[in-house]
Amino acid sequence: MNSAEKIKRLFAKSDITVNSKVDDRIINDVLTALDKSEKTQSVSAGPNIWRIIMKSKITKLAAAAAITIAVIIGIKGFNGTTAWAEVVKAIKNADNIHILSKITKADGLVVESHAWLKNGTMIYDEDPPNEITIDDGINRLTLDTEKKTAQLSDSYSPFEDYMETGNFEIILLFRDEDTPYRATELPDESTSTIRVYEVTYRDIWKGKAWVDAESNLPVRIAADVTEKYKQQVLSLEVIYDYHPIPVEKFSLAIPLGYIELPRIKTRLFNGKVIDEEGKAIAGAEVCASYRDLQGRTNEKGYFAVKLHPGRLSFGRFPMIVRAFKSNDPNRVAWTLLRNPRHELRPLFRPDDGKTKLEQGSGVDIHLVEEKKLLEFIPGDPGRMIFKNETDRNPSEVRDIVLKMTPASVITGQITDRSDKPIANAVVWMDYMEIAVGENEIEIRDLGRTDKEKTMISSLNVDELRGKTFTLTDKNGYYALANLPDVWHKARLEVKADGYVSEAKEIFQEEGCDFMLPRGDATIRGTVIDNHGKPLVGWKVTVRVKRDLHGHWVEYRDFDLEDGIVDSQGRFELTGVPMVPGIRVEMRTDEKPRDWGETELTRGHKFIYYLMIEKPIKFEPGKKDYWVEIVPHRPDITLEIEVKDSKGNVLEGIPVGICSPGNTERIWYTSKLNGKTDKKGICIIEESPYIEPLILWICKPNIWQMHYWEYEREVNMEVKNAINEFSSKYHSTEVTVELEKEKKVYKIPVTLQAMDK
Amino acid sequence: MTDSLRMARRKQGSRDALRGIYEKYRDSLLILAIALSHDVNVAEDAVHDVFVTFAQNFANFELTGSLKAYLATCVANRVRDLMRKKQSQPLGPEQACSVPLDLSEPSRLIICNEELQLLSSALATLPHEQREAIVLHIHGQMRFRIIAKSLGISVNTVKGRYRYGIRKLRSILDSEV
Repeated sequence: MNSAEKIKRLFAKSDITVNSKVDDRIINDVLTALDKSEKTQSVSAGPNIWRIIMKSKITKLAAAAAITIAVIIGIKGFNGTTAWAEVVKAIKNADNIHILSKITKADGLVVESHAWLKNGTMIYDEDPPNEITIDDGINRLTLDTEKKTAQLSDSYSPFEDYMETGNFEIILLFRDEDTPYRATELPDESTSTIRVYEVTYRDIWKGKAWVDAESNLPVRIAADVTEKYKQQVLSLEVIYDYHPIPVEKFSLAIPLGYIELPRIKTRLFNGKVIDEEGKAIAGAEVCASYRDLQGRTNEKGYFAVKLHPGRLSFGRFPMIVRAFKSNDPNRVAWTLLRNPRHELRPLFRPDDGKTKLEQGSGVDIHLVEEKKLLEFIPGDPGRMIFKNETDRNPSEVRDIVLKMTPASVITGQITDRSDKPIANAVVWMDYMEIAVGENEIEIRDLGRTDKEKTMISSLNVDELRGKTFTLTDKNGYYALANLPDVWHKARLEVKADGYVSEAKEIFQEEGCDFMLPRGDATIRGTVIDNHGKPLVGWKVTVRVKRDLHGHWVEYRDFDLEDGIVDSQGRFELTGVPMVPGIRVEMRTDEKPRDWGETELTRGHKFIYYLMIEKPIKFEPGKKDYWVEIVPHRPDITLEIEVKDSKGNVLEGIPVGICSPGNTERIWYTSKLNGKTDKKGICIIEESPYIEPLILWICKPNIWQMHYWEYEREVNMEVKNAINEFSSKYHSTEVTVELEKEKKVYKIPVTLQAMDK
Repeated sequence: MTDSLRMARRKQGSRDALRGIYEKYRDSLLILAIALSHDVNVAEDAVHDVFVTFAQNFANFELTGSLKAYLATCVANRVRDLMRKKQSQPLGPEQACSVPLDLSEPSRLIICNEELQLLSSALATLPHEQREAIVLHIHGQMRFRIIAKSLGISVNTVKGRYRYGIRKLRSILDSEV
């Protein structure tokens, strides 16, 4: 069994017993908090997204754009038409956009504000009540109209796409598949020049969008907030205009009467790149393990890399800084920047007690011997300048020296199982490890090169963020170049369309070829229990297991999307790579405790059915597989007859069942507990077929005691009965001998009376 | 899940719905918090704080993903805060969950079984980040992608932490399981 499997097993068996005092404390506080919040709700509450839009720094442009894009995305997702994708494209390509937005507040006050955007880099943005931002693409001026202050800084435009940042954060929310935004075209209202759509957002607002049919640009959007949410805002209207905006609009002249605050100094780090002989290297790319930090050396080999002017820190140190010439894959200059004010954290219970963790932007150091590490770091990390004694983050890093050394290049070929090369597969380095004496350095981010930056937009692979990556050529070959030559172990991952991703740990001097299995098979099937009931909402997962010495061991995880069982009991798994040992497993995410009052709640709340894993017979070349999973529904009836040693039937004796030590154990709930009737018989229906199945007769148990307090009245009776009878009779356990086809079990039990 | 939340609210009223949610997820969240903090008191406080905050926002709570994953992430974040606040030098295993089931000890409010004790002690040897990745992935049953999103880090960082953690646990578990 591998470690992950062991941990899974331990988790599955983990259990706690919670004293009711804990519940009392939490429940009381929770309910008090709820009461308080309900009282203040009418004052403070409002729909979250509305608040984001209305109160966000991003102002009206954001509000307008959010709604526009919400409409766009919503409609695209909803209707599946491409018309709205065209609208997104059109508005992104518009050179001049002027937005006027009008918000009608609850008190009837109408707040108007404007925003202008030219060529994607120049912006004039009013943010009521008191902020105006003007950015001419080189510098940025922020005016506080209340305090009458003016603040200059470098432009944000090299770091932000104004159509995509700020606003985009909101837009991203909408882009999720289950976006709550909906839009429907109203053909009756549309004309040959204007298309009209009805737009809604949950039950919060509803309105219309008008779009120019020819240019695909939105013209106007108007939305009313529904009655329920009218505490703050009544309605919003956004009017779009695409006439050319004069450049003067973005003038940074400080208006009369304003006090100019000291200009915000952009944080930067600077230094020099030299070759092995100390000569300056011009035109080298410089990047750091933090995605915004990028630069290039001048003719004298100097570089100055600027941080986003709105950012207050470089990120966390240690940080790797790397320089190379893009036409020379075999050389690299690098160093490691460490912050002397960085607080080192001890590892949790380190074996030797002396290892410290220095965790930074893509670089972690497990530090044992500082001296050795310092001797090892190549180049010169320069000096860190701190503004104040108390600052923990430097405002600048100066005089870094990066000296060229031979670089490591990892190469290999990516093929499919029939040795056919795979072109355009993405290969990236997950991490590399460097051992320096007893110190260990793990580098996960080597900074983004220009080439990677250009490629990233065309690749839809989220894992690439901050990673060093490349693409395979038409022969399936790849080369990850300009890597520091000191690593001893690294991990590479590969992804290609239509294939299953692979990852490998490699060592220096090893080539790294990958053979990817094709994920082109489909597994369909049903999950219907033995009574014909489909297990709706359960998940079906692919697992690959190998038989090792008689034990099925899971040896890889394809990380495929689960198949969800539909109302007909059917599921479908697509893109499955067929390999020997493949199995499907049904499961539910819930790991519950309550048997539930109805079958519906039981199905969700309890591992009602035992997990079933089914092997699939692998046949080379076969693409479609069918599998039927028939879980067994609990349908055993237990009739327990309790007598004392003299043969007298005992009434009111509490009986419960459990299955200790089993992962799918049974908890003591009202459904699986009962009391004997006048005839001394207790009937428990719908017991699951699970081994061992043990009856607990008249047995007090800490867990039961606690739980019953929360199952309130019904179980209080049982609890009282236990208290009553446990002083009279010895409690007992009886194991039920289960037989496959047998549904009803009659179990006689004799209780021994306690000696007086 | 949003729908089921709303339904629960409508059907049962907020109080019962909250109580139901608490009862349903209590143990799972406590186990998660104990595994993360190796300290029952921190675990109890974390679960307490998360539910109190949840209650404060319950009426307007809108959820787009799984409630369980949401609560698990909240608990993980809260544990991290609490441990930071405590400047936590983690406790030895004997301080966490070692007291056996014993009704006569009134001070012990949460009692862990053997498996949880073993697990929690083993996890305590890892850095918190790795522990978080392992616990959220295995116990919280959250996909790496979701963990990455909720912690605001890249998916590969999470996978890396998970893998490192698992590897480090190998030797400990081999000797103890």
